[in-house]
Amino acid sequence: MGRPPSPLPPLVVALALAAGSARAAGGATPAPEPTAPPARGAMVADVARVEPGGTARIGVLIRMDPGWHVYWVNPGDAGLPTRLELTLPAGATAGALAWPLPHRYEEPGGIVAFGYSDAVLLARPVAVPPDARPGSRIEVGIEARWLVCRERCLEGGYQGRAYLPVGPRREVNREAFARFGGPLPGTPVPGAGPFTVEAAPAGSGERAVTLAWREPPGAVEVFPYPGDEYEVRVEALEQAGARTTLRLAIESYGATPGEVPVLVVSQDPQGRRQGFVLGIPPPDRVR
Amino acid sequence: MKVPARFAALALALAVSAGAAEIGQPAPDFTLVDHEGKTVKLAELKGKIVVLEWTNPQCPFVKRHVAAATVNKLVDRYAGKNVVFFAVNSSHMQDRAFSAEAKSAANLTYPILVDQEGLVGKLYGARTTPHMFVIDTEGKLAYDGAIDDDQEGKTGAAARNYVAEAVDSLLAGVPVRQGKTKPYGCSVKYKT
Repeated sequence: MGRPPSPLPPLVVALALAAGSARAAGGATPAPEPTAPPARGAMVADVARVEPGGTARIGVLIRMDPGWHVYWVNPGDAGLPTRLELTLPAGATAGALAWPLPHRYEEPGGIVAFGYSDAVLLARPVAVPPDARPGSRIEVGIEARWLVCRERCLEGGYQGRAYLPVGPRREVNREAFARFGGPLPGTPVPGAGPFTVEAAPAGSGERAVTLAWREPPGAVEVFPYPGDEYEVRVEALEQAGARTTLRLAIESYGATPGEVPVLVVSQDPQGRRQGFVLGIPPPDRVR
Repeated sequence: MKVPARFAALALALAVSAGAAEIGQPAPDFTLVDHEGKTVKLAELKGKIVVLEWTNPQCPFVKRHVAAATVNKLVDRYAGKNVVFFAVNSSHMQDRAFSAEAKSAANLTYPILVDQEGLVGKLYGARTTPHMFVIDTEGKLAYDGAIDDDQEGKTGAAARNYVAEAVDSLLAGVPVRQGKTKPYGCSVKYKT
């Protein structure tokens, strides 16, 4: 999980910035709290100039003090998913937040958290209208909110405004996006994915599948996506060579879910991670 | 062909997820000392509806509800109806003096029970602050989950308060419709 220390690449090249403010609310309590916010945001984009009809990835780079973490879309047993909202002019649209592969943290009491430490770059793809005028600027409001925790939790956030020039595309911050904004999950192509899925016996309130990998995957982790009316806990993860058997406990607070999406992450011996989205079907539908 | 399996089961024995509290079953009994040193034993509260709120005065979610007096308002709402409220503090780094100071600073109208060792928290499977439990007059667990449906704090007083719904149902003698929800909040800060 630790990264070798090295200077961060220059960020936000050539974007004119309005004053951004990092909010970290601790409150007055008898016990000491960090004197400086343990998580700090800075706006970031993958282009310094975007072509009409093009796409820019715009978001925030969150840097954290050692031992602190912010949360993934499913925060786990506790916590709060990090939020990133963009405000755009008419005609421009923002897509889904691109979540880099999360990490798993286990706290005392067996409380499991899914999220990120050290640094993470969260961004949304922004589609620029095809009739955007070269020479004009697209004004983007960026607002991020998070809960950052170590042995205590603090709220934090970032607010900023970026002015993105329209013109011949100029890409920037490639290293920051690669290092902190990824890897991103992939969806396996049926018949050509990294594994095939087989049914496995499951008890009531459980789902189980066995993944038969094309090549032995190294370490495997599974991160359930959040459900509106159910919660998923990974009960067991057995690995033998190129086969991973996964058992999930499903707690339903409403209707029983159909497919339950999870993120399967494999890590090779060199520490490179890959993630794949997989829908776990109800027991009667696994072929 | 037998292949040795490296079994990576999560350690459930000491984990919150192995908590003993099930809806419809007797709530785990406990004896705890409150912020003033007074002993409270759950078994002696049979005949009352008991509401437990897992708390950590340093948690932003708890602070938000303190500022909104969410649970104080419930205490008022059910005054004289044989409903008792307790906060339970399982934070390992906060002692009785801390809880006493926090209760006073927050103007709570209900006691804080001190569970620094975290044993009662783990018995109940408490994992967030706040995490709410409602126990009926026969000592059975009737509700386990979030305080309301407003994790982000956006709807405020208009939020659907699951505790009020559960207590109202119990007082009316009808089944609690939503017995379990996913609790939200900071993780409980257990020692181990």
